[in-house]
Amino acid sequence: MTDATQHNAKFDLDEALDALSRDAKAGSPRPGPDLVARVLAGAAAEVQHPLDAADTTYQAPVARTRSVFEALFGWTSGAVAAMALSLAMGVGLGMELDPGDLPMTEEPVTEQFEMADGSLFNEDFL
Amino acid sequence: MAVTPDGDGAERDAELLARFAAGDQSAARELTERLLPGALRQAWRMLGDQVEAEDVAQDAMLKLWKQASTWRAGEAKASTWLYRVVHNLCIDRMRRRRPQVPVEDAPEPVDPDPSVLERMAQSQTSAVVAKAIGTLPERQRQALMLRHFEGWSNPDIGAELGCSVEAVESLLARARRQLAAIMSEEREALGYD
Repeated sequence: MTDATQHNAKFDLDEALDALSRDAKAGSPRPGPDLVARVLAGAAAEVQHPLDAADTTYQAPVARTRSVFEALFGWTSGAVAAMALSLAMGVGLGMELDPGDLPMTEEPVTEQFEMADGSLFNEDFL
Repeated sequence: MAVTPDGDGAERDAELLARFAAGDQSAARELTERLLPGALRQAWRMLGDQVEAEDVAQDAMLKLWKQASTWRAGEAKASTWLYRVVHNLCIDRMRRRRPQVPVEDAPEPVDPDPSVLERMAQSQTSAVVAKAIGTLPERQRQALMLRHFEGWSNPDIGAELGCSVEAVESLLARARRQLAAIMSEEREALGYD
């Protein structure tokens, strides 16, 4: 360490700040050829394709929302699977809740449903 | 080459940016020579890690290339714009280093990290000054660093910190007073009169 310690100089803040600034510059890394090459490659890419980032008018259409089925099985399979499921649910629900099985009585609705469910297992049904 | 945002340097940067935007690759080379060392130095001082500092400097320069085509000379100086970009990129990285703390709760990272500055000090006096700078309030420290380490003018510092030139002068005066007070306590130990 070369310091004022040896010669008892007057302390000068500006001088001390300048010295620290010089130290900081000397101690900082300089851009190596690899970094310079990467930066210049970026510049070259920007010159070659300057409109990539800016010209989005005729590009990037709004993404179509995909259903879960479509995401899982693709567009056509997804559509077919969705229709099949809808059909199955409709048929299933129709079988379960046949209005003819619901007696018009004063019994609570839950009991009416229980009766309807039970009717699925009677002899006529089987 | 020391590049400051003042005078001819800023005009030259603007001219080179315009040439680059027109497709002149040699302008990119000169801009890289002028601006990259400062960007790397700033990132290094803030992050204290060379690999990260190089990544930040590269990202900042890439942003500059992208900005070139829409650059409006006279509205901003390339070097001050780049300083701001590097600063923000470094802050992002410093925040990511502390994943255990939610971003909104994390304290604002210090610019620059005083410990990095202390590591660079080559003499006992410089080390004490670096440590003293680390005790300054954030804005005083920023103003002092921009003035003495980046060589910025007071109007540019004011633009960067979002305050008037008078406020910059006040920040610098207070910073110097505080540094002088700290150094006067250390004066004897350092062997000064």
